[in-house]
Amino acid sequence: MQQQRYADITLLLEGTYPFIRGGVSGWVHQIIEGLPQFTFSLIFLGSRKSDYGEMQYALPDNVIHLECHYLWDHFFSAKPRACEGNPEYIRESGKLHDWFRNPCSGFDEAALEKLLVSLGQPSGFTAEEFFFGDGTWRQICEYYNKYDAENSFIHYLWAIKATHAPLFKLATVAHQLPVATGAFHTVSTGFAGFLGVLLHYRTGRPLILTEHGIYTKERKVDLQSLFIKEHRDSLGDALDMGMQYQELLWIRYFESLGRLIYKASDPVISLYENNRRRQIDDGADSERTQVIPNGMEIERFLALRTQRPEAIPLVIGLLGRIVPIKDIKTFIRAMRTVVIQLPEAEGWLIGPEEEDREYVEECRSLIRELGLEGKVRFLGFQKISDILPRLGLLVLTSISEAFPLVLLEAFASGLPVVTTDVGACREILEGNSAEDRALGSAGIVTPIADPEATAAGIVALLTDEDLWHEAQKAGARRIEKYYTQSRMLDSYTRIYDEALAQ
Amino acid sequence: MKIFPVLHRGSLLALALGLETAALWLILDHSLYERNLMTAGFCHFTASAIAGYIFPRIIVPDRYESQPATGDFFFALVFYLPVLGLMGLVLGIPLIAGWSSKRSQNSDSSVRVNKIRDLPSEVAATHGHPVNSHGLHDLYQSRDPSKRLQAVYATLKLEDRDAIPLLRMALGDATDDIRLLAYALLDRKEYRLSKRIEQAKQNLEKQEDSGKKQLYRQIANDYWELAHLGLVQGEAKNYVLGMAYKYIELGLVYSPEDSGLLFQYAQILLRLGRYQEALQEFKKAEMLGIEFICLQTYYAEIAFYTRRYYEVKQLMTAIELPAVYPLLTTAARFWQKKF
Repeated sequence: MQQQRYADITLLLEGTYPFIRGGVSGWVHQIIEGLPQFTFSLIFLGSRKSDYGEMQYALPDNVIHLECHYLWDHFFSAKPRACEGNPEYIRESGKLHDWFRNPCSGFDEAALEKLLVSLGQPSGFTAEEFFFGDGTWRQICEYYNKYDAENSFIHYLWAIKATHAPLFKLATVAHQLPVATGAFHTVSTGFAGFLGVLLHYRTGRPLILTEHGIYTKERKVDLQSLFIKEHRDSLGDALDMGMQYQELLWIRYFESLGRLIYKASDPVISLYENNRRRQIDDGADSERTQVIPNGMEIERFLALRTQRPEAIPLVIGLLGRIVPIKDIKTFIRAMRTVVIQLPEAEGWLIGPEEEDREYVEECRSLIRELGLEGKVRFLGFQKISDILPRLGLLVLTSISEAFPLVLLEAFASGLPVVTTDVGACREILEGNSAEDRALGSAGIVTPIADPEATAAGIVALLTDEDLWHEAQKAGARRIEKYYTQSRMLDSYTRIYDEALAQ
Repeated sequence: MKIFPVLHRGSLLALALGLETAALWLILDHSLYERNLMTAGFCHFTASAIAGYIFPRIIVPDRYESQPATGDFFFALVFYLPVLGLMGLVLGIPLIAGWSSKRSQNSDSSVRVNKIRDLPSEVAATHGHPVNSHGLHDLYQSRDPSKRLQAVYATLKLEDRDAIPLLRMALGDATDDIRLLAYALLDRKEYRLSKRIEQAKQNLEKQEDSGKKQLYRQIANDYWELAHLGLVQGEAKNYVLGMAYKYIELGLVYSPEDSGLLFQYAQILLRLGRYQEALQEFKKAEMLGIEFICLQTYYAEIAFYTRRYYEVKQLMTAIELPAVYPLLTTAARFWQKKF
């Protein structure tokens, strides 16, 4: 890869492309590959280097730079040294924190820019001043006494340190970026988005935000899951111990970062209408928001339709990572009912199993428990073009999704779908507007965590050929009309052109 | 034993006492010794028979069917302990009556029926903090998502049987965060039970015969909880009930007369829709010591499923209102109506 000094677009990627496979990574690859007229540089932000393996994608030729930073490696290793800390910066940052607590009031954009540009700089406020400064210590004590005195000070102190340390690391990344950039494009809020804010204020170049899911919501879910997992045997005690407070502090932190990012970004893009509304609720300016749904290169899948056997295969596939959010257990339980009604049916779990080994083992145990060995199989990661023609139905049992690309891939390959009613799934299957709905339903939508409804949907489609073919046709018509890759790429071409023209 | 059907208990008792006194008087009279001895013997035998009939009815409450063995016991006691046996029993009546009425009060259906059926109670208390599950249901109806989230968090303070219905409702919440929290909480509850089952099954392989009984009981109980608490649905639920059935039968091989196991066995049979077998097992459990009052609603349920509605009415009428569990009050009121 040849190093150059300028990239049209710098993509800011947190925990996704090119090291992790999944919907967001697939989308990033699609954008880079589909827009060869632009050059890209990539900044990957991860947790720890040891959490990631080899790159999962071959970088296209228009990627001219890649750098990786790990936020929780080498947290802060400088030798402690007494210092006072910039009193003016501490005072101004206090005002910013007041705004985070009460975001209804406005905040002076010039003051915000000054604070963010000088973050981590000797002229502003360094990491050393944050960790060892007397002024910082006094401010932490004051805020603790004012807002959270009824809880543990040690917990409070560590939460403040843990939330602020990555910001200094990101400030260093922003100040050391070796590539000049026409525009920054962050694929989430959170840390990547905050880096985008720093880069936007430092360089004056536009910041574009595309949110697939809603970052704040996902972190909230992560924190809830962690809370439940850590206290699975003593949840009642955990609640008494005030664990909710720590959790709320982190949630407020991500909400505040989100607010800064929405303030700096234009446009603020979501994949479907519900998420656009949520962005507005969370502080985005509605004038800046827009919806650009995912698109699919249908031509790649046309050949798959012809490979489909005449008889509908009694094979039900779930394509996705084997992780709790996909609710694989509901799929397995549904298969118990399906195999009683259709003894020849098989369930295939197709997707990587490395992310949560413990959950994979729980799923395997459930398969054994329900006597479904040989009926539900783990196939691991498979090439989608090999697997889709062999399926009779695609099933998605997720408890949370944004805009799953796999649904579009199923439609493109002529496969009806049974999916839970999450994210954009219902509008993808049944249509968004009256004109769209007139195309028919491309499958069946079910409630979450309802194995019986999932099984009923599967059995209905696999036992009624007319219904199956109607759903197949509706899916193909819908994707050709609303979800083509060219439609999506045209939208991003326009956005990039406008940003580069600024 | 139904040879004194028309006489009142008091009259029968007086008759027995009279016969026993006459027998004693005849034995003490030396004038016609041989004939007196035969008459005295007849009087004593009749008094013993009356005692064998009357005392089981005084001691065992009306709602229980007295067993033949109980009558034989009282007959033998009075017959082989002339005078003393009957006198002892008569003097013991006030004591027995007091104990019996106290026992009857303690097993009052309106007080205990919710615990018997393991129904959600109005107020569940854990860690000394009372949490009203109906109050939480009201809170969950709020339009404000943060309040609904608060209600879902508060289920952590409830017992599973109270928390699970609310969590299942929250699975359909429009707000993702709430839905996901409810899902995660339900998943953890299910995980905890499944893990215990898996662990117990592994332990079974290492265990000697003597320890297996307890493991069978625990596995059956955990499977039962999975189904009973609503943590599994549909066909998976039937499967889980089938497993509970299998393990409880294995447990019964070791303890065929364990009333607790039989009681649970009957409940599983009832859930599986095997009503006649369930009835038989409930009866066995009753014979082995489980109080009738604990089984009343199960008998009513079986009578309902087998379309013996008059019997349902009889059993439900015996429940005093208001019952602790509101839904049971509603059901009992319905059956107590005069049509």
